[in-house]
Amino acid sequence: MGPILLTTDLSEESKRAFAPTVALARALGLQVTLLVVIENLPFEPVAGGLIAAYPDRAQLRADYEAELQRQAAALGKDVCTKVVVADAADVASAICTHAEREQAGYIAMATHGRSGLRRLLLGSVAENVLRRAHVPVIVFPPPMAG
Amino acid sequence: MSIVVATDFSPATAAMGAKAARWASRLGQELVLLHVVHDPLLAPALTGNVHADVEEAQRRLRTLATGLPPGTMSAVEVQAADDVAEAILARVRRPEVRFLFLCSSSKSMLDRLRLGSIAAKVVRAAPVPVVCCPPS
Repeated sequence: MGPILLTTDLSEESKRAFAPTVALARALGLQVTLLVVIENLPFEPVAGGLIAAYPDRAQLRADYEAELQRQAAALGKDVCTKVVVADAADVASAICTHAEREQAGYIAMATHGRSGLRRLLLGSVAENVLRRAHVPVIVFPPPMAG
Repeated sequence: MSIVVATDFSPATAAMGAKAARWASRLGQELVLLHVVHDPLLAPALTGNVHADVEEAQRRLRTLATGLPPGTMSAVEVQAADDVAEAILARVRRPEVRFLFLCSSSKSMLDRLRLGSIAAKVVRAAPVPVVCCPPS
């Protein structure tokens, strides 16, 4: 079976899925591919107008890739065998496309926290991945309060 | 420790059960095959014969269990509930449950586009990792 495609934006919330996914991969005899999809917005909306958000996309990609490599090394290169940084306007669609390209067995991701209104939100990326994915999606919940 | 497989008997059920059985085997956990029969408390006239539905679901789950790989520790459970999603959530809130498998939608394309209201509610509120399987 293909690897587990572990998606992250490198936020602390998304990193919650790292350790359990790697533990699961070891138990199931699978490898893990770490994936970051950088949302390809040419302009960032701010109050009062639009400004260029990412003047140096190449540097941004390089920074993400270096951080992913660090994360993969910390998790174990025997399991985390590949890192991928992609640019896309539609993050969820890019995740699903990579899952097909990699012939992934699973997609893994963490959901947002569950305090207040956020409890009602799954996160638009997660929800769109769940709708579109052709492989099973492992959704890791936030830690329970208390 | 256990893995709960919540099924609506959609076409993906057998494949989902086989995948969950592999996990159960590798992780040393019991597989619980669960179906919740919708039993609308506020509209009993729509209910039909819930007893018959429960018995039919038990029969189908036992058939599914016999098709699992040899050595899979499995149990079947059928519940009748007004709120199907809440019944699934109540089951997976038990401390011994480690994972929940369920289909990301039921049969229709419309449901697929909507993710499926039951799946969406369960994924949002489940206290354990959910393995959401596509319908095909």
